[in-house]
Amino acid sequence: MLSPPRRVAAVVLPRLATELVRARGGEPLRPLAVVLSSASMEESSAAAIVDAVDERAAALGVRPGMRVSEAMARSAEVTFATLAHEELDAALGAVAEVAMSFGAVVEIDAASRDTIWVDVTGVAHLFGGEHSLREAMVERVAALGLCVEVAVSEGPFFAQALARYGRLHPEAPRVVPAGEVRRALGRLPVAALGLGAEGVAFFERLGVRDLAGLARIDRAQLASRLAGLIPPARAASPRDAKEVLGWLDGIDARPLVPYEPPSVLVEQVSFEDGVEAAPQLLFAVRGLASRLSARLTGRRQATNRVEVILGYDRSIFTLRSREARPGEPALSPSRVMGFELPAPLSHTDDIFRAVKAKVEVTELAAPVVRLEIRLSRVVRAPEIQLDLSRDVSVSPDALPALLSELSAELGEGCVGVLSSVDDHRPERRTALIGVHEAAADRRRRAQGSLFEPAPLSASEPARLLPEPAWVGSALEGERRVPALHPGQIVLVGGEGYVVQRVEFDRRLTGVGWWTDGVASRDYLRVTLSSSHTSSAEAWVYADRRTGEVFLQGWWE
Amino acid sequence: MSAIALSSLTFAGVTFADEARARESRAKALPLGSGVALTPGLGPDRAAAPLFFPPNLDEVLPDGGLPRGAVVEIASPRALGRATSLCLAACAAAQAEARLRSGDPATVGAWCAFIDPWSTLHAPAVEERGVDPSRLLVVRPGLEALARTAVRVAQSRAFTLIVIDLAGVPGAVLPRGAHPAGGLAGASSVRLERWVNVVRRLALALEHTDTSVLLSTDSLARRPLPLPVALRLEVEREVGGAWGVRVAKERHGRVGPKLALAGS
Repeated sequence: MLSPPRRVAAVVLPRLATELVRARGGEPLRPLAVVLSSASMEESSAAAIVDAVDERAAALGVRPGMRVSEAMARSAEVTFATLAHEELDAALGAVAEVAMSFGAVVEIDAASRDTIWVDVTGVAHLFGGEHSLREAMVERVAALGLCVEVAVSEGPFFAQALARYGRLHPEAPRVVPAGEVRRALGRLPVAALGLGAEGVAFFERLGVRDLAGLARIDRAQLASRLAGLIPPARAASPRDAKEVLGWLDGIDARPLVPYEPPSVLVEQVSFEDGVEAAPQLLFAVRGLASRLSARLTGRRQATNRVEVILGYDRSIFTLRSREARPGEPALSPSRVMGFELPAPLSHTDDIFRAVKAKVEVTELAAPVVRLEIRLSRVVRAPEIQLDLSRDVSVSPDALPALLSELSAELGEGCVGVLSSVDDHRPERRTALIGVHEAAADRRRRAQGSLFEPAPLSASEPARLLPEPAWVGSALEGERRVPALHPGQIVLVGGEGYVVQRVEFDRRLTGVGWWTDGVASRDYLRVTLSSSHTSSAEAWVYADRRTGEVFLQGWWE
Repeated sequence: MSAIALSSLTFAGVTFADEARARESRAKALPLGSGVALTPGLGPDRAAAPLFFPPNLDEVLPDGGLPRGAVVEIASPRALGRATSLCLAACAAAQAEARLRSGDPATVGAWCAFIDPWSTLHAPAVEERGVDPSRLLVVRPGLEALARTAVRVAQSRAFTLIVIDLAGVPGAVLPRGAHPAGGLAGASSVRLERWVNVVRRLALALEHTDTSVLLSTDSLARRPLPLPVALRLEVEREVGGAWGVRVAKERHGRVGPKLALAGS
């Protein structure tokens, strides 16, 4: 059986660096040139090299590769900004995670830092064809607020060249069927080969402007010329003349190196002016939730722990802290709120609701200048079984959304499913666990537990008081008496009940002897009556160490 | 709308000699036309569970079961009339119905919810009464959030059955200690006059759904107005384990006297 032809999509982000700088919000709407730097370097020096420019700066003649001083000489209107390599890499990583929803293998072009390749071999039919696949990719990445160009072809170089230079040649196809790549590439300029300015200029002097013209040159002569024109090794550049000649012959077999996404997802936004109003903060939260959701969806993952970090305006926070707590040491000007989710979530609305419930009830100590959402525990996305047993169709996401909202509002430990715990003490036999733990708990029980406690009785009471209610004593001075006897009146919840019948149920002896809370009890099944109920069955125990008698549950 | 029948619970008390006999008996007792559920794959553990309901309880109910898409009140004095067992039986029946419809006993489905502000629901008893606890969401809100939580749960439409405990049991105290001023009528019950509007909101949330809401209330609690529920059942435990059940209110007026039913 023949394997399908290799198909690779290139997602090119031509304005990524400038868009990230613009997203900070602080840069005026002037032509922009960006210098990439390490995180510690704050200002761009005149000798620094411009790495990216926006369209308006390009129109003024500023090009990537120029020195800042040279660019300043070209135009005084251009604003220069620095961008940390780490910030650019994080943005590329986020796009790569989104792209994972289109193909299993994704690679970030570490040299150009503007391209993500996705191996889409054999997946196009899932989207209705390669054209629909390309449109879906454009739509998904554009939703992140980025300018994007996507092309699909037989190899990474072909797809990247078509996406990058296709913008300059609108007639060039973005999706090139297998076997037609040579014809499609022929229209692209020589610069598409990544030869550098010197190489492009050399071929222009020979009258060769596009790849079709280059392909007509004798291969032996071309190989000797290319050897001297190929720039020093960069991943995005041709490694040798042989590879360039292969491209001209329609061969692009370089394998993709899979990108490994980080285990913790972080998205953050900064505010130029501090934010103190909840609506503004929630607007930012929704944006971050949307970005995180897109990343999770691409990774086929979900999160069950969210941390929200609010960075306060340092000066105002310090001032208010001093007023509120004079003389005390200054606190950290940030607030971290972490919370568990009872079910893993990945959709925007679900994450937003959970964070919203937390943020809405948070009292801000100072204006917020930085908002960060960190998904610190990422798990495999749950596969939700469609409930076909109902008369009315139900959204499979309804339950996770509800769980996140309730958990955030009511707090951890207030939402979940019940699980029976192996313990002789009745009060320890009920646990509330997360919904996502329930499946594992069910499997564990199906396999059988190592410790099978003896049944407390043939039937356990449906209601067990978290705190047993004191109803009397089985001691009269030093003498032990029956805990309860027919005709005795006991007070429960402020009302009197008459004991009708007492039946011994079971005895616990020295349970938990290695702890302080050792349990030695005689359990009784007691039938009670009162003025308003003719019969009720209570579960009562007498503590054999102290003689105290407690009501612990009701057969209700 | 069809009804959730409780007669399937009678199977929980039957010990079958062998699986073939069990299957045969189930097939005979299965009322196919009414959407009644039984529990396929009834294991020996569940079969050994005690009998909680008289076999003819469904026959007492006007529609042969609990109405869907409606709010049902189960009132008992101080909530000691086995209302909890009745609610758990309804959960078990709803879950069993899902398994029956799928035709696969291994299927999990039909989520139910139990809103338990007093945190008194006991897990072993839940399992013992035939409920799959992994499909029973338990929510423990404070009393201040009880109404809001109940409406939110109903609006999600994710559940076949929602049980809301408004009464607690004698001796139970709220875990958080604090409650809103006036939130309690006695030591452990909700002020029902405030629930008139909440029940209306619940009924609106249930419109055109197959979800039923069961409100467990204290029949002795003070209430200036009756709750606007579709069905009100008054249950009481008689001496000797018998049951008294009365349909006190029904949307079509099919009320009746208290019926004494045999029980364990």
